[in-house]
Amino acid sequence: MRKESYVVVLSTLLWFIAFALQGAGIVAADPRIFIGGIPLPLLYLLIMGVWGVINSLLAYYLWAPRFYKRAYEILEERE
Amino acid sequence: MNLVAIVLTVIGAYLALMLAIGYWGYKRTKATPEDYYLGSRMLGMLTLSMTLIATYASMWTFLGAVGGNYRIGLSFVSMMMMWNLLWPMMLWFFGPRAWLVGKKYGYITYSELINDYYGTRVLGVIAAIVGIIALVPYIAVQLMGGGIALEGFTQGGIPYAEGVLLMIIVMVIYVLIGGLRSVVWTDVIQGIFFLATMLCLSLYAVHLVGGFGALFSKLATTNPTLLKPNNLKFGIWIGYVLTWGNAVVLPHMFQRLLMAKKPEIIGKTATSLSVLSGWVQTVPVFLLGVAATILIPGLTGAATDSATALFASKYLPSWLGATIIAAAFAAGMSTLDSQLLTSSSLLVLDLYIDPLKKKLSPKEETLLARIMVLILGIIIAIIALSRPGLIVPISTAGTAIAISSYFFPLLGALYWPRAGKAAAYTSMIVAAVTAIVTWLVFPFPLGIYNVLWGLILGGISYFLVGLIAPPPPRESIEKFHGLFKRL
Repeated sequence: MRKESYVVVLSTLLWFIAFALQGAGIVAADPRIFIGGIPLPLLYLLIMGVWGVINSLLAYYLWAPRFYKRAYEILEERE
Repeated sequence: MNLVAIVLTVIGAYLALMLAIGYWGYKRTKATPEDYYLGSRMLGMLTLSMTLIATYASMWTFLGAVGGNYRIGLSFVSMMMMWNLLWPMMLWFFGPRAWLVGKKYGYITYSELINDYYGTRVLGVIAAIVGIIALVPYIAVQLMGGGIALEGFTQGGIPYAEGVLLMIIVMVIYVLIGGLRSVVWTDVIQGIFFLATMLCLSLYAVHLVGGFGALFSKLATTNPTLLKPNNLKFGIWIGYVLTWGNAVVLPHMFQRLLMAKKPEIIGKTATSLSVLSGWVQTVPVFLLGVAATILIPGLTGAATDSATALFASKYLPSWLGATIIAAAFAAGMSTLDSQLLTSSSLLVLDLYIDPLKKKLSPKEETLLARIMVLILGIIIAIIALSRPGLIVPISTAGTAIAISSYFFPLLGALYWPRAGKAAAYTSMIVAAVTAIVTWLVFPFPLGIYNVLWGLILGGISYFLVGLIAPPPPRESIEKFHGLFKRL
């Protein structure tokens, strides 16, 4: 696996764990705490949402360009 | 004009538009299976993104998910947001490799890919049977949702059965005549319509409550449990996440991975879907669900699935309420049309032509595909009219069976050259049986959702048998993993 792939996979795994910890009620579970008018559980959820999009952007900018280049090379071999 | 007439006018106009698109697709469809099922693999980012999200977001999103947020609140939306962000990542994981071998070797279905890789014909037959069995409850749910929405909004003015029949008849016509081109372009319209409607509806609901600040402070004082992230048992929560987060392996979703025109389209689509699915589809459903607890309080159990329709009938003028119902129809039809077309491909290609080695011309194959769409439409309508149970458990449990049994054979074909056909057979059967047993016989053992049990036991059996039994044929490994090594 290439170095760029590790970044994408690691970020996604950490995101999955961080999100699951909230689902299990271990982190950011107290609805009485408000930050900037937003309940803490909701704020944490929104941060997880942004992180999820970042994972896709990491794949797009770090991993994908090489795939495109190699895919074209492989497909051209047929002709 | 009375309510029923308004609803019929708005929905009639919407359905007429769908038929017009179906006719447009018909004029452009060539009589080949690749064109009828995959649109000749020529989809761009807009069409692929919209057909994926429209296929993924179903009537359940409009009704069941709003009801889920009404009952459970933040715990429900955290689960939804996670799976709605996970599946675009799984699209990154499976999509590029599946697209590459699909394009290079001409696969149209999941079964064709795994049959070729594992060097067998029977595996694809099992996969197709699992696919058909798993899709049936899911498809029935969409039709039921249409009937329930229409009946609820018109307070019985349009009976359930008529709503179901209206939806299936229009859809069968445009899928039958136009194939994938009709499906994709109706999906684009339906997807935009559905997402925009849900966004406007949720913002209006928040406005009625008094804005975001008022909504959250009212929830915190009147119903703080709706802001807790752990109202659901974790085993159920993570089970749903893994079910829907892996939805790209479902037959109708997987087929879409093969439709991209160029490799860049896959990447752009996955990235755009993380925003469309993770945010645009998810947040409005939450806002509408929790705002509805203040605006239309007192709903419990299955009645919460009617929250959207009740909100529309109470707070919107009739014509706008009818538009909301049309959007619910759009959400359902955009999923159902894709499933209908894919089910036809499973029956025609994977259960008839390939295993029986039938030699048909492309024109005959396409005709057979169209006949199958018609037959399936009739069967599905009959099932939906019998109204099986609650929306969420039916659709999710059926999907769980397919996801848990499809996952590991595909994973091996794309990432692990060690496991051969014995591992694939074992995993597929063990996962499917486990998902059924932990749903019907011993429901959710240890509080863990059945898809997780299916994935765990299917995965263990795949890797154990894969290590012991012979690997796939050498030429298959070279054909697939030889390519992947160069990526």
